[in-house]
Amino acid sequence: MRNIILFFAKHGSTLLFLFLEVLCFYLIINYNSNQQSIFLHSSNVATGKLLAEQRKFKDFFSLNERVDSLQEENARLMRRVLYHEGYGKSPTIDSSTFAYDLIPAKIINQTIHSRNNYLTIDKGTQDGVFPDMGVMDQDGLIGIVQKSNKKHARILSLLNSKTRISVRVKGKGYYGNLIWPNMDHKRMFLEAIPNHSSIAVGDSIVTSGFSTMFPPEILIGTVETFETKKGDSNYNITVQLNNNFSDADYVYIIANYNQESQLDIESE
Amino acid sequence: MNSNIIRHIIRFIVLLLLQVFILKNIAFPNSFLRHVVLFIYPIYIFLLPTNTPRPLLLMVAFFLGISVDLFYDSVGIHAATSVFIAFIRMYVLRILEPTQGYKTEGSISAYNYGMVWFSSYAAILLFVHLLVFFSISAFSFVFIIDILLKTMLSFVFSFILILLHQIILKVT
Repeated sequence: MRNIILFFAKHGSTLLFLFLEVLCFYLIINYNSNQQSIFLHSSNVATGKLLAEQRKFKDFFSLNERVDSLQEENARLMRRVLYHEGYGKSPTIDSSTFAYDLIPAKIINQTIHSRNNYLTIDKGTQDGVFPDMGVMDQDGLIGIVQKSNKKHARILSLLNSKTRISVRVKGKGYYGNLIWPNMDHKRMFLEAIPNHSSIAVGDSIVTSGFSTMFPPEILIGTVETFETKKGDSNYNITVQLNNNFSDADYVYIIANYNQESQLDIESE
Repeated sequence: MNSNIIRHIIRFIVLLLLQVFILKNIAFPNSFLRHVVLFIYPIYIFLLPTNTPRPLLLMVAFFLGISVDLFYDSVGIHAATSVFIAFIRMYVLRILEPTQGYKTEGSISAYNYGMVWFSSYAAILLFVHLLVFFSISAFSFVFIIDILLKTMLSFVFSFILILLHQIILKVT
């Protein structure tokens, strides 16, 4: 007994030091996500779980903000229901005319400052999330599902060099492609709009509906600047994104019931 | 004695607030200097008097680190680093012991021991602090170049801050 007390008197602070460091590393491993490993194996199950835990921790500090934004979205949807249906009637969704379903999901990891940006969400094949589905949130497009496993999916963000989205200038009917040539996270580049078109700053850019991933008429952003380079027959258009990628947290995966049938006929 | 404890508590709170509400939000726009992370709170551990019991020193360092972590969303990283420098502080003090020895009471500050002595003492601990901090953040020595770069850059700016702190305030 005396020896034990002497031992503690002599080495107590070293033991305390070791104890505190072990505690710290336990916390670090449980609540932090190493940025590099996330980037490399974001949709792998183990890191996915780690990220979800980290997300839980972060959520705790921003609950109010989130409730507010959901409340706003609810109000917007409610207005739409009132406008179309009147209060009290539940809107009926007829799958023969409306071919899309939305699967809600939560972003558990994302990058916005890399050349090729990705997001990871907490839904996977068991919730019906499969590659090539479109992803949006209440403010506009987010990206396209690249791969999914049982519980998680990796999304190719719009802010990626591989992005190419078929879009339309709302109300004017010009079609073009939206790409991201390494700009900042608030802007994209619209190509293939011929320079005889009448474009104005502030025109809305919406999805064309040609691809099977997105329904038509989803707002993406507005025209910020446009110019013609000498010898080029197309405009160089900069689009300001409606979506703020830096604070996106909840998204919807767009499942298209008719995707297979459209792809079938197109590949024939 | 009591007024001393109150002074330490106030210093703890002020340095914590300075760190998490002001320094955390300072970012250099320059693509090279954006690696700089400004640190002021480690000076609290540097300054604690020599007669502080070691277990208390470690607990205070842990508490300080974990408070900073809560604001940086980096649970444990600052705490692990702070506990580490609190632990090695004794050995650094032993190496740097002035010929007339240490005073039993009073902070280990530039006011008590001279600016030159304090600079070398703070420089060693700050450098270790930053190196450990960025190593734990990266969690792998694969990124050693990155770690060293961040450590050097952050060291320069944080060291200036710490010296300014000592020039402006006479810590007894």
